[in-house]
Amino acid sequence: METFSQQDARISISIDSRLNQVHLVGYAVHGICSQLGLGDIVVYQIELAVVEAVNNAIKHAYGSVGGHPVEVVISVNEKRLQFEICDEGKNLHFLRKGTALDFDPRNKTDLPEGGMGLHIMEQVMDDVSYFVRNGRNCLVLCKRLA
Amino acid sequence: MRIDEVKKGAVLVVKPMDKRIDASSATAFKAKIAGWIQEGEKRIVLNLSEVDFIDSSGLGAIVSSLKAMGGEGDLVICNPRETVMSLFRLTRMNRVFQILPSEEEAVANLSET
Repeated sequence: METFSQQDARISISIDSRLNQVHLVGYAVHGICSQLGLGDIVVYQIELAVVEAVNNAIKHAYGSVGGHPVEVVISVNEKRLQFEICDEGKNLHFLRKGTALDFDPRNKTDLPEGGMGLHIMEQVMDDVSYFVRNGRNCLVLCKRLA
Repeated sequence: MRIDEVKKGAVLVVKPMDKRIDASSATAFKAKIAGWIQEGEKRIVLNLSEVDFIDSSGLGAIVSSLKAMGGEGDLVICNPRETVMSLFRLTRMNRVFQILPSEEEAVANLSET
């Protein structure tokens, strides 16, 4: 996880823990990333990774119960783009689980319908880490720039 | 979740008109497709031309729709944007679904089976 200085650009977004609010975070991430010269596919994938992280916070940390905060802090400097997705819900420990998306594409009966979010985050981002501090859980996603 | 539908011979073409198929809309999407499958539709083309964002929940709903056919039919995808296509590649679901560049090709593909 990169330590950002006070000179880095930083913005904090907070939404209520409802899935119908997540698109607002997506639009913000898309808008910021679109200004960084990353290309449409990379911008989409970054938005996707952050949305997956926010979805996880809502579904798993808060059990899809509304009324709780999910905060996304976006920090950017010339070297890195970092997203901290924080909640005050249940500690997930999900980074200890395997993230391989292992299935046989020819076997239609056993295709996964869920559990793809962490795999996507790890494919898109250069670093994925998780920490718990003072009752607050934070998933940190880092993407190197250029 | 608004999904347009048109029958072309034995093939049902469904086209979501919402820009996002995500965690908030995946359940409704899945229910709509399941309804058509329960009505007996076995050849479905999913036209994604209007969709500019799908997350893993949306993808899971599409996978669930394919599985709901129970091996007796097929669901083919057409016109995904390159950005959305990258989700299929990230998850290797591009190896599961037939994904074609046009609705015409997708309809023709299912009409031949």
